[in-house]
Amino acid sequence: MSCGVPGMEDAGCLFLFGYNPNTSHPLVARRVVKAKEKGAKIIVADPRFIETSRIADMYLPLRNGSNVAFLNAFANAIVTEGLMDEEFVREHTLGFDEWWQTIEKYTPENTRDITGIDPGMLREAARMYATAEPSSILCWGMGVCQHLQNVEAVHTCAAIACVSHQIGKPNSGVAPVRGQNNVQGACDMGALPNFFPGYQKVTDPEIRQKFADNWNVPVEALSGHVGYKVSDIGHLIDDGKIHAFYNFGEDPLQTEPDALHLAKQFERLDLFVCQDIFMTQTCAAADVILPATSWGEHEGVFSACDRTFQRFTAAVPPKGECKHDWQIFAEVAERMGHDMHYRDTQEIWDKECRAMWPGAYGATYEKMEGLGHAQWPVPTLDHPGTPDLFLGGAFTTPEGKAHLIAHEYRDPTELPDERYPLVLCTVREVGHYSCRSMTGNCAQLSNLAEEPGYVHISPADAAARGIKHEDMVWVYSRRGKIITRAFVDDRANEGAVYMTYQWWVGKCNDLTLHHVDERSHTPEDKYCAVEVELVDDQVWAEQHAEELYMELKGRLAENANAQHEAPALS
Amino acid sequence: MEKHMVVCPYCGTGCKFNLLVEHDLVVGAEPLNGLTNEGFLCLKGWFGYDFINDTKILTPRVLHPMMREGKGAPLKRVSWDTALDFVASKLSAIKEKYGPDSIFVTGSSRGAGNEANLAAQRFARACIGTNNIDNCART
Amino acid sequence: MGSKFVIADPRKCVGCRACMAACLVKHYVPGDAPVARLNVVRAGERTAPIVCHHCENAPCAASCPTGALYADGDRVGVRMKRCIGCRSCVVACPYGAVDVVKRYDSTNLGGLVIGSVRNAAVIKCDRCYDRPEGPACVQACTSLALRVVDQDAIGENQSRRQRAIADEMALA
Repeated sequence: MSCGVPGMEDAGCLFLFGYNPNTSHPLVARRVVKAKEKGAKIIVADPRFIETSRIADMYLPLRNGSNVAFLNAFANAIVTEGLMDEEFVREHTLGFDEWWQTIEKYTPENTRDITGIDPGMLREAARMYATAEPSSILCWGMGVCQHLQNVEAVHTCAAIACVSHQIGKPNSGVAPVRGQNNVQGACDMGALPNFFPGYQKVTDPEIRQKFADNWNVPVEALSGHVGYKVSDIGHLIDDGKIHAFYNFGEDPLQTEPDALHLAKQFERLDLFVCQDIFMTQTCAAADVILPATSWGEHEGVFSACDRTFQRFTAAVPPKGECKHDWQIFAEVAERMGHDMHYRDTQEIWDKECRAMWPGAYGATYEKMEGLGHAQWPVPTLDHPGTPDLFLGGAFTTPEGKAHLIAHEYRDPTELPDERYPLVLCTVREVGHYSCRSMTGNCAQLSNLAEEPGYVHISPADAAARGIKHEDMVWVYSRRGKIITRAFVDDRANEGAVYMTYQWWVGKCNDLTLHHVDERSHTPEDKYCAVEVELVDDQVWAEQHAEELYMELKGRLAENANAQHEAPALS
Repeated sequence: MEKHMVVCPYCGTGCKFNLLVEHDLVVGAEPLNGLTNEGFLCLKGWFGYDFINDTKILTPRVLHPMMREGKGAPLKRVSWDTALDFVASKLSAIKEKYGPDSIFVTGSSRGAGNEANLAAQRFARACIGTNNIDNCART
Repeated sequence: MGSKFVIADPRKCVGCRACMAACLVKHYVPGDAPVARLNVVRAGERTAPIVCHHCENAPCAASCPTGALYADGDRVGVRMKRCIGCRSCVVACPYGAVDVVKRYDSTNLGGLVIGSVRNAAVIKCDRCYDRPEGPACVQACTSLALRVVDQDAIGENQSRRQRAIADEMALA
């Protein structure tokens, strides 16, 4: 995010594009409510009537999958309505002419058939966004990222902020709000195939030398080419490129698309290690399970979505024989001949992060004591941290200017047809998180929302299929068929259905398409074609769903039970 | 009752609260006046703590290292030494035979924390010699 | 005198259901039914927690043949053990804020459960009368959307509206 979460309430306009904070980040949703109370304009663009649509000044129900056409037309309207800040564009951006060659072709009028948005409304929204004082923030979530044209949409969002000069001043700019609590941190800390900690390129020899020195290894030991991306793991196993998978704290068999196929691919690995806290479906398929301490049993630093480092402490001692994740890595490394022994998390933080990433040098444990925090970049010990990036239009490119990039619109990969006439879009449930291994083990949260979950369907689509609210239904795609419960929802648009992705029985990732975009390799989880059908025998369906769930639960419990038998002496 | 300060492990908002602990069991949450949450918590912050106590409502915690004796064999509990020796020797052998880029390591974008990710990426880069490290930012 | 009740400001509610979970926790005790007494309705342009208004002439209590529900002028209370599960109250409540669910009563001998009986249980807001900090839902609300209103607050609101209408009439 180019701004901080607290600053969102002081913006003059919040434009929520494919972002539903009420289910993904309720405390960000609270800032949206506060912003509205302080007089901010709220614009929501989402195919579904989301919670924030209720308080929005403008709600634009664009068609599923039409993001880039919509954004191009929005950018077009900013220019053609004379809302562009020409001086800012001249001084602080590059590539306007080429950008405009593409954007010029997408008018609100000629994109109407793709987006379904009234051109007058689109122009009005563009005016509201571009003219808001003192600033506008363009927020997005997975409604942008989990589409085929995700990077394209992000480029255009950034360009929209630039041409209207709604970036480079306090409480402005772009806010891609991160979903998992530490996805910002995992990226900050270099758990990425192209970056060392602090977004320092693995392809830069000087940077490699710096890290090699810190780690006491010859520089030749460090790879100079960018690694693979995790969403490609299945194909990489198929192609014989990956033989060992060391999976740390993820549950890809629940969260990744086309999970049925992925499970088969994992079987072909020479070595499959899972380091986790729960017996997840992925763990149950592993060759070795290394038990780690859970949140609450260890301490450390998290990065919030707005780049704020904050410390958390341990509340209870580790259970059983669980070790801290960093200890496990160090112990495997030591056995492989690499010494990476640490005393505690503070030593890791100081040696591996602060010493290696100039932008984080000022983020000391002392500064983050108690309710303290440090928002990067925070280059010196007395630096207050940086809520707003790019102030005054100082961008972090080599030229110090923003690059305007435009893209042509493309249709999503799998369009609905006669056999699969509905678009399936995967969404979030407020009471559950990710693969649900944590929240599903919380008494109150599982009481509020349990298996088999729901498929949200519009009243018209439900009626056409003879489906009533709470009926058990089949949902099927070219890849799989699952049973779940129907939620007849007048907030769902016609022609699309919505499922949350944490259920085992109503598992939408058995249906989704494993098609990743070529730039970021993010799966197209927001768009595939499905059909929904009423189950004839409702009593059988209820029993079947219950049995399936019990069987899965039983299988995982059985796998875990073996851990209570003392090991054979070896 | 003990109180221990944490940052919420669920979404990326970064809400601060205390975990309330009695006899090594987490029994409650108490919001703190953090930068982003200002004394408020949502559903998951208030009530998302009891999984730490190994409630087994959905899935049990894993508390001991486990291994299979061969593909298809059942998982059995082993000692830490056995598990770590096996992982290290197998990884070394695979690295030797197919090269470091045949090994893939993930980071974790969930409750593990930044230090665990720093260790994971160093393990992949310095120990194995590959940039095949990624996290679930893409899903 | 007059009853107090929990009310929601739909403009502030973010629909996060923290109130429901807080209610669940309050009733997650032996002998009670762990079901939320308020329900966040999210449909169309509406989102708001629906909860008992503790009506003074409570139709639910009037329809209850066993005295499981009773109105004492301050609130509509519940004597769960008297509930026979007839659902008259569910039909009578104009807010849809009363429900009848299954409840499991266990017989214990020392720490051991020796038997369990399924009973009907009437479920509605008890305004957390036995909770010193006041209603759990109000305390858990993410966005200050929930509050307890009493007769004073209602009266104040009423006179404000009367003044507003009078102003409009004066201008007309």
